[in-house]
Amino acid sequence: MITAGVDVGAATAKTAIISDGKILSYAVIPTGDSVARAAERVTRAALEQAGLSMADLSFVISTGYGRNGVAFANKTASEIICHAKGVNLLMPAARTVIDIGGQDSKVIGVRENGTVSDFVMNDKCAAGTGRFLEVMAGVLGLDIEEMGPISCTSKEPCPISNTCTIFAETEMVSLRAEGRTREDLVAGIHKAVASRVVVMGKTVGYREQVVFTGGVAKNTGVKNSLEAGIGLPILIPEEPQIMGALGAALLAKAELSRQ
Amino acid sequence: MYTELFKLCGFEPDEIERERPRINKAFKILGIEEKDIERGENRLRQYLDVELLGVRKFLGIWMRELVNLVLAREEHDKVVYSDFPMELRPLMSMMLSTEEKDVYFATPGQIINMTIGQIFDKLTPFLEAGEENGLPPGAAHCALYQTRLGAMVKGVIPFPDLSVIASYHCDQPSEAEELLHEVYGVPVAHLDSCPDANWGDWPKFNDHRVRYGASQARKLFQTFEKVIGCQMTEEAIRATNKANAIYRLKFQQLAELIGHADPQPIRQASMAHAFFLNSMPTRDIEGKQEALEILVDEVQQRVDEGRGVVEKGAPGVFSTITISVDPSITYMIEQAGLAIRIQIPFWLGPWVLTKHPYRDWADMIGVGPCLDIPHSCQAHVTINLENCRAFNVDGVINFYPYSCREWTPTVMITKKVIEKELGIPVLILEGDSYDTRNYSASQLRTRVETFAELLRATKATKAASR
Ligand SMILES: Nc1ncnc2c1ncn2[C@@H]1O[C@H](COP(=O)(O)OP(=O)(O)O)[C@@H](O)[C@H]1O
Ligand code: SF4
Repeated sequence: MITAGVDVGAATAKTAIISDGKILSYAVIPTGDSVARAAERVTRAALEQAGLSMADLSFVISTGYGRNGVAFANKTASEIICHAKGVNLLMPAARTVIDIGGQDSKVIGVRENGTVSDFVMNDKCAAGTGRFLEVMAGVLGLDIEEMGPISCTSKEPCPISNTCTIFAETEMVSLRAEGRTREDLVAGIHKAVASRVVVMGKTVGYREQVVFTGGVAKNTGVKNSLEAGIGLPILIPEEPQIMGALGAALLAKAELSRQ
Repeated sequence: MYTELFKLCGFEPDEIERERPRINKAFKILGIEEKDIERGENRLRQYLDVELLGVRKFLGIWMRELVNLVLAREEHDKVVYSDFPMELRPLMSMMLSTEEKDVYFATPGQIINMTIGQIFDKLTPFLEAGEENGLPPGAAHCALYQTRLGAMVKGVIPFPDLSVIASYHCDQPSEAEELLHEVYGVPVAHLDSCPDANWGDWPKFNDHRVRYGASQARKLFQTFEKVIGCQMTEEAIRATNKANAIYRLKFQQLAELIGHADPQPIRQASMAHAFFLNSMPTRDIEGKQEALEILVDEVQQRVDEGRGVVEKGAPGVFSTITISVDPSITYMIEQAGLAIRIQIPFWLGPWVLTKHPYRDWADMIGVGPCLDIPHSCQAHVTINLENCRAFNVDGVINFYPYSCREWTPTVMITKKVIEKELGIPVLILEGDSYDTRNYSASQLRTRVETFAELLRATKATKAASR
């Protein structure tokens, strides 16, 4: 029984294909301007890796902000539920998931069985999300992948007082004019993102194990700042970006068994 | 082109024919085109229970008022406006005191929101005009007041001869009306109040506060008499109180009928049309009473037959979303499989009806629908809590409308208190009551669907352990 989960986010589209609770393959591509096209392409890419075709999929669940635009999905589920489920498979001791994606951030309380006990999600503001980091990387002329390693060498992270992406951009320009180093600036940016999320998640609470998912989990600088903020160690799955897609594929399997 | 739309709004074919010249004129001024009408019809069918005659009749009252409002200057000697949070009874008494004169009364912001906003989804030009003419964006101005100002400066609705306004819960109406007075020369009658009660004071108000409120009411009526030239009559006050009490009690019966039914018999957005007429001074008093009687009978029938708009056994929630401009959020909640048992401020708890000291002096003023949303943070929290208890809900969806001074201060306290006292989860949804440009429905959807899933799981666990 082969099922797939398709997670179309604001930044990237992800597909995970599983069989009997084991990951067969996965793929990640930028979402671009068409949800439908991205969903189709990323799923074909994952199928190709596993040597399968669309016809082999028994059930597909789509998730992410573009979940309603995935024509070949049999059902949709919210990405919060999917992230909890995906993490639960790989790290069953996880009780808190911090997910930071392209356009939103969430803190999710997870039960032993992988269901959601509580959650909180950022409001309409882009601060505290991957988009904020992308804009800041652009201002500093860096690739997003470089941000984490650079910040690790900072001696004194710059305090960034503006939480608004637009204002923080101008603040960045003036801090650079003051001669602050690139390392301190990037570390300051990571601290700003982390502190937004840490405060937001307090209503849910942080219980061990804490797992960090979403594309931003690839950024070690943000991970370090989050750990400092919550005072607990943070674990990261091998491929943090596909946890939503994996959870959706698991829910698809459960759905099939129910039917 | 709009025959079908008006039929959906309860108009009979002969009324549509008779009113055609007026509707044509009003729609031209409003800029309502064929595509807007099509959108309106689709939205009515999607979001409201238009198959119910009672709902159609309520829609008819709003549509008639929209046309009346746009043509008010050419059809009437004088025009008087008010808007939320002004209470209905003073307005209605004023209106009924002017039987001899040709005076048109309306709450234009509300009328435009319920029609141009909710039905046609075409509010942006009004909001932008309001923003450009004194209530700028980014300054947390209330979109209700931006809309009504925008409609006036665009020349879509007339400037009034008098604006009657209150500052029960927030400074925004007074601020906006000050602008109307200073810049556009409109006389304003302002009902001030001393809104800041200490935590623990509610529902008692000290004498000083009550006396101050009453003195403000007298001042308000004096201004009205001076500008409009009509004496407030005892007869008008009595007629107002009677009509208001009859309507309010019947509405209460409807809210309770829906709140205790499983499955949820009609959409909460349909209820909003009946609710907001609680504060809209229409001359069609009999029409609104008739619509309500019909709706109660129709809902009772659905309840008896076990028919509903949400699955039977669905988790029940208490929701504080304002369903004025945007019916899609409550619809989204219902689509996610949650029954909205009660929507604040649709229901008055008996503790409010019996204990509120304003009743001593304020059969005339100051309470009415505003009773349910009084100017005390403690009252907000208590009333929210009591609504949850009264309808035995499984969870709460607590709305956080960005620019609203009345609702925002208590959102977090309400969450804390309900979670602690009742042990049920509270979801906070950020948005705007009157301006859909300020939030993204897809972001809200993720939260609502997850919350629904969470409540279903909790309900199933509870049922299994029983
Ligand atoms: N290799 C990387 N290093 C650091 N950050 C990354 C990397 N890849 C992606 N990101 C961050 O992840 C974000 C996208 O996360 P993702 O979970 O794919 O978002 P969504 O699901 O919302 O589309 C980007 O905005 C970027 O900030
Ligand atoms: S402009 Fe700034 S405050 Fe506004 S939504 Fe964007 S990031 Fe948030």
